[in-house]
Amino acid sequence: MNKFVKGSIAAAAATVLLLGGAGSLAYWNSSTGLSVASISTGKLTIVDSGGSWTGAPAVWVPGDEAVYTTTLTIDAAGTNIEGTLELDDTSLAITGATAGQFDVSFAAAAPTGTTWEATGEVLTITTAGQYQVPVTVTVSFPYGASADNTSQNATVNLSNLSFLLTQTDPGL
Amino acid sequence: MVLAALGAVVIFTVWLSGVGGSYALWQDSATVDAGTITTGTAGLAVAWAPAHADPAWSNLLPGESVRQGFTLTNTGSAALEMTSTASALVPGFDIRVIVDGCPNAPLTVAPLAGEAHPLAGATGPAPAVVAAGTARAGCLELRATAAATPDQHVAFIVQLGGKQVHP
Repeated sequence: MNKFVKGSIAAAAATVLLLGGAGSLAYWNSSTGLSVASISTGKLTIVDSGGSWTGAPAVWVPGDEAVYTTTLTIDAAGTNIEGTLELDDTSLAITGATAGQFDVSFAAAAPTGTTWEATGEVLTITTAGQYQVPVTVTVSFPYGASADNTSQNATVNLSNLSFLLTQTDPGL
Repeated sequence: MVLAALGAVVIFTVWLSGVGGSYALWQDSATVDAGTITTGTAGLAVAWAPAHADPAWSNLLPGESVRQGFTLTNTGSAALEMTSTASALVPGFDIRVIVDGCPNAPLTVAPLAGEAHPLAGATGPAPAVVAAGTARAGCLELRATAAATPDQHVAFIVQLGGKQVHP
């Protein structure tokens, strides 16, 4: 066999070896699992117990005032859970003829683990726990300085009075 | 023989959900049914007493007076403090108004003028108060004064007003 033929055969064999024969080339990989402890999230919930009015007249006139009282149950779970409780002003349907004629204020008796800010009418939860929070909503129909009959024979719908519990940034 | 160098590369891939998305905070609410507040009304109605007679206002001589009763009804939801005023007054005649019925003697309260003034009652301080949903008797007196002239015909309007009493 001459050198040319030997070289051709060698080149062909090398080509076959480099091409992996009749199949496709591949890379290798591997995988393994790393077990991590499970992550559990806390919670922030609020439930009401129903309430009642004190001093509410059957028919309101300017100068009347009454107080609605209920107890809210807050369940705050989480190492760094913090939140605020306040009256949802958007749930007060004081519109139309009664717009601007009624004042509504909110107050809460702060259990241990919470603080009450009267100025902003906000209860702040700073520690995880279950809290029974007595709250009051005072509705007043102030007696004005001049005659204005537009608020007569009108209604204020408080059937969806809402209390809002919102998580706050723990600032970690 | 073709030798290939093997290189082992281990890559840890950690997949985190929410990477690059928006984060949330928690919020919950409790809703109570506090019912509906209904506001009342303020209303007044007045009517002459059944014994009222128009002819009694006729043929008055200076110094003479006629008193006739009326009923004042609070048709609203709030007690009202009463005031009274008269318009279209003419010289020669005084009009006086009180609540609690007509006495047999001429009234001693001041005569009505163009501006409203508190309405007095037989008992209690002025202004007299009519409770919501109740009626109270009143008395209107027309008195001819020395300034009255013969064959004079007059018409006047007495207006009774009520201001809501602060609860």
